[in-house]
Amino acid sequence: MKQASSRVAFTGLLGALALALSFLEGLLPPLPMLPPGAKLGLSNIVAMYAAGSVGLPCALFLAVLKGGFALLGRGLAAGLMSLCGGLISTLAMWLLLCKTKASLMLTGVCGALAHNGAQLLVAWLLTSQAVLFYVPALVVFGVLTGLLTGLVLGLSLPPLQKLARRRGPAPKPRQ
Amino acid sequence: MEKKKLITPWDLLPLLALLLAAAALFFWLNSRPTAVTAVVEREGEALWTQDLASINGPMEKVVDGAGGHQVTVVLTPAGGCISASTCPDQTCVRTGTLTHAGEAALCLPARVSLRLVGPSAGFDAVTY
Repeated sequence: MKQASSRVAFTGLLGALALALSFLEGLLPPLPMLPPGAKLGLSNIVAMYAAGSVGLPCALFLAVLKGGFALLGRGLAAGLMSLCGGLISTLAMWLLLCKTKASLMLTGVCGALAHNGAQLLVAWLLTSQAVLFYVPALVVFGVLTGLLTGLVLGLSLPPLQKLARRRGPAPKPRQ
Repeated sequence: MEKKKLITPWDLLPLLALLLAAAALFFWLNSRPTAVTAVVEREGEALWTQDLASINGPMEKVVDGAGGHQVTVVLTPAGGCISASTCPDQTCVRTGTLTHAGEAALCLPARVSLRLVGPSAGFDAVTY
């Protein structure tokens, strides 16, 4: 019982963190070098941590939560893109983290590329083949942001684990 | 996950291959000829196809998109752009002016796209 409530509370905390990071990066002005609509994907750091440390159900719940907020705040197209991108990238990162020996930065890159790929596919279905123009820019940007995601998570993990040891056992991953 | 390495030398190979493929695709797209036709589509259906050579000055058209959004498309002999949109994110407007074949501007909330098409590759003869 205590383990279950601890898991719910921890998932809620991660969800709030993912939404806060997503909101924060929405405040950043668009950089001239980036393709229009491209984002740093800071909330992917939380998704990757959840996929590797807390378990797939929790990580998928975060993707659905983020998609739901995008749907309410930015409309159907943004909601669908966020949901599909989040679910596919979470699955890709979970597979790489839990079923292979892939490094954190490679996992981050694959997660970012899966996110961009799923979003491009949804955009293609909603509009036309015009979206193919964005493929090269999104691949380059996905590699760079994925490396950043893996790096930030790699640097954050030791203090997080130190904190977890001091506070007591973290919820066991459920897969 | 604590046993995961940050990066391994083997990771550099696929990453480098990806970046090279993206760079090749980028240069290929940018080396494409100047656009000759502009196509405005809503939900994949062509609404307006315009031969750019036949335009004398800027030509503006307001397209009714999905969700009640309106998108203003401006075409010139050199290319085109989405100059205004009632969508909340304005990503389509920030795309700027398109001049080369293959370039595109998308307004996802309105499901409207503007893309430029180059001269079609004509065949001198077909043999069997």
